[in-house]
Amino acid sequence: MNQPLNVQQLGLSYGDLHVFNDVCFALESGEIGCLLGPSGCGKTSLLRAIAGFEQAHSGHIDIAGETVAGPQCWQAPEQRQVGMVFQDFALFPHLTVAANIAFGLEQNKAKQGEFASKAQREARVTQLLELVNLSQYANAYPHQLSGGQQQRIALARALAPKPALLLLDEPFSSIDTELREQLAVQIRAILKAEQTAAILVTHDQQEAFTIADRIGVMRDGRLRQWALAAEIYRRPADRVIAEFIGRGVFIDGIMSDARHAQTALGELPVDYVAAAVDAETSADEARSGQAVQVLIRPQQLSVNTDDGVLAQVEQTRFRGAVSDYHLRVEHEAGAQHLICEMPTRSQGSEHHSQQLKVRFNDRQALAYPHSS
Amino acid sequence: MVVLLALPVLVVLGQFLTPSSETWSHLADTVLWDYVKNSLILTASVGLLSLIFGIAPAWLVAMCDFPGRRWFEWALLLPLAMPAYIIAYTYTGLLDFSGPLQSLIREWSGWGYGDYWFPEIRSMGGAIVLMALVLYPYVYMMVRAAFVNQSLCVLEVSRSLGQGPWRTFYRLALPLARPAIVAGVSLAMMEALADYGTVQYFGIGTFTTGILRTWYGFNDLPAAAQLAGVLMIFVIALLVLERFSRRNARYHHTSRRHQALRRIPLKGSRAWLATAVCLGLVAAGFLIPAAQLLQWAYKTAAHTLDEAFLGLLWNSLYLAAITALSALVLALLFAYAQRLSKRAWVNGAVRMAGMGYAVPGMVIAVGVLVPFGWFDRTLDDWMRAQFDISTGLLLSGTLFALVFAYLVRFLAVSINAVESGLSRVTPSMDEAARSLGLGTWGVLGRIHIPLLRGSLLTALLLVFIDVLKELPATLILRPFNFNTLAVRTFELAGDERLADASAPALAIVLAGLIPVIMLSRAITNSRFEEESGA
Repeated sequence: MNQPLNVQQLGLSYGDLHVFNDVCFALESGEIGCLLGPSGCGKTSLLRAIAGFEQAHSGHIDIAGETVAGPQCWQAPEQRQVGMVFQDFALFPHLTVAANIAFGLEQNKAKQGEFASKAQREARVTQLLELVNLSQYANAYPHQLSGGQQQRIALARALAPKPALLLLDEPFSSIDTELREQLAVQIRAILKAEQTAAILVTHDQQEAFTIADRIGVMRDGRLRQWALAAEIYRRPADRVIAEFIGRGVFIDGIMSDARHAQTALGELPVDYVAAAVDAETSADEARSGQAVQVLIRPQQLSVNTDDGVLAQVEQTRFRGAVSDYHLRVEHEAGAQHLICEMPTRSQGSEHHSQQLKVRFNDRQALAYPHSS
Repeated sequence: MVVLLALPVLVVLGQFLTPSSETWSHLADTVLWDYVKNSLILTASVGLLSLIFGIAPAWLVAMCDFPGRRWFEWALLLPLAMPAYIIAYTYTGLLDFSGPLQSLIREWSGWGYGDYWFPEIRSMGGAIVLMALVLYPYVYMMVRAAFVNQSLCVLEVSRSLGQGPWRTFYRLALPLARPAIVAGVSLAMMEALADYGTVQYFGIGTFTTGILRTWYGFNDLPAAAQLAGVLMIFVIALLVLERFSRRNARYHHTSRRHQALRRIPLKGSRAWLATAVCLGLVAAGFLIPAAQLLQWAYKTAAHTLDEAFLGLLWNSLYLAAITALSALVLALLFAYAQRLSKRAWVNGAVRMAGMGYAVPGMVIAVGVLVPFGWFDRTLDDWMRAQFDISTGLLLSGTLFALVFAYLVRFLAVSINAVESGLSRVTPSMDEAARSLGLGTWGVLGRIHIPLLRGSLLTALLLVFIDVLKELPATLILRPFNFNTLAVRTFELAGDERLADASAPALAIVLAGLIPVIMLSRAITNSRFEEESGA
């Protein structure tokens, strides 16, 4: 089976303004991908280029093995096997829910065979309404539905013609925060049931981790890393991504050998992540004596251990299930700041003391070249 | 296209650059000052009076509860259907010496002519009151909306800070509604300035009557155009005022939350007074003149509803239909140009094309006559010199010139309706349809046209009715012996055949009711939303 999506060296610019550059990634069939990045990083433009609403100036896009955009060819959006769910859902207000879903079935010439008869189209609409669990609303109009329901209808409408690839543009931005996670789980289940490959765009990493198999982090028009969701969290490809994904702080360190760094927390086993983007500082192996930045996640620390390092408590923040401790550790290279997280227990056992001992409690930390 | 549409206004303004004729200096020496004075008095007084007529019921309806409030909410708009010149004829028929009211007084008291004092309706005062009676709905409409919108947030704060409901009105509600008040009053003043039928009938010398007299009487088109130019300055001043107040209006909505405000229930004599005020306005502005027109029309039906009347009706209807359709086509063209290319100059051009609505029909008529006449003369001269053929008047005095003038004046109505419809079709709807396999034309046919149908119909209807009512431009530009309902009403009334004028007048009023009904439906709907807490 062909890859549902393959993007190579794609670039888009308006005059001198580069929206994105040299973007390469691919999606396996049935996979859900997510483009994650702050607003203005070019992720929505990338999505629109895949859909055909923007024309890239370089590189090419293959959808289901067919080149839809490249140096010699460009397919209009209506000819591509792509479904799209818009930020504002863009349901057609003059059509019922069922007619909205059926809309693409009547139009799509490529699928003429499968949905040629009215009965086939009706069966498909019924099937999708069941899938999104809104069968009773078939004859309602979009404005009669809640935001979450509208979103599921928009999803059903985009899925109806069985596109090779589904695109979702900030699908949860107009949904109440409480509903987002629940909807994300539902949508993931629906996409998996339809076995449709999908790309969504978001700036919320929680959403990205809930829904996606693969995540791409975008910054300043570049796709900095494209990897499985767990891989992105475990081994961010550079410092910027490491700062963006999950929580954590950097402390200074000096490499004592290729696998260990000397820090305020003592000598830590580290995995040195060579900068892939900035070619000039790039070296696969860390030299002994090289200055590095070591990423310490809150979960990697334990406090009040016997063999820990003495730390000053600067601030505590109660966050419900857990409390954050902002710590300061004195070190020859200057004071180092750390955050550690501790579960809140039923009995008030919060550390009121101004000092406690802290220890690195994981197999390995990540070290990044200094000043990358 | 835009340049062509802006041409009449530009021509009139350009008249300041041409050397003034003898007529002009004669005008300046004699009547010009009267025109300025009368126009200013009329406009300012109509503005003031419609301010009072408009705010009082707006406040009562929005803030208080009294018998008949729901009915008055939309009934107070009815006078909008009554063109000023028609109400002027009707009241003249009702109130002058031989009218039913004075006859009744004489019958009861046995007085004869000159034995008693009765206000002369055909005077400046009469014109002011009558115009205010049909123009106050502009103020009412905008101020009521402002009161309803400001509802909860600010007013409750004021009450919680210890201000009573009356002080809240003076200190907060009224100042907050100021942009709406200014916008409504300036609309009413623009209409007063543009009026020709009423002032002509009452024999008041204003700019509009002066322009026509200069042109017909002195046969001096340039001087007429210069007068029109002076009138334009007043209009521009009002326009600037209105735009300015609208810009500020945006900042006056501090909260998005809408919650029905609790109305003050009026009891006893106060409640009846409120009802009487509203009823008085509706009756004076619409019910009484409409009843009088009906009575006249019924009495004269036998000899007015003849073939000639059908001819008038046909002329009016097809003129209005042609204009409405052309305006719609142009408006669609402009609106799509604006949607597809987001450049600033396209936007500016569309605004410019819509400018004509503020310009008095009289000014546009003159602005059309000058360039069209020049074109006809030049072409005629050239053809004679070259081929010894006289082309005569190709453009001026034709239906084309008339429709063109209407388009200049009413295109804005059409553009607004189409734009507001198109704004509901979001760009992502276009894209959604395309990603579902529809081409450009498919998007137009399956998405845009069904969604726009209502707005397109509104655009057609509003222009249609505006054309039916328009008097001065029709009067000047119509082809020889071509009559419409409005022109015939004007002519018959001018000949003191008021009863005979009632049939065409009534037809115009009936047509004018359609947009009023549409407006009141919009008000009823918004009230429904208010009360369901949406």
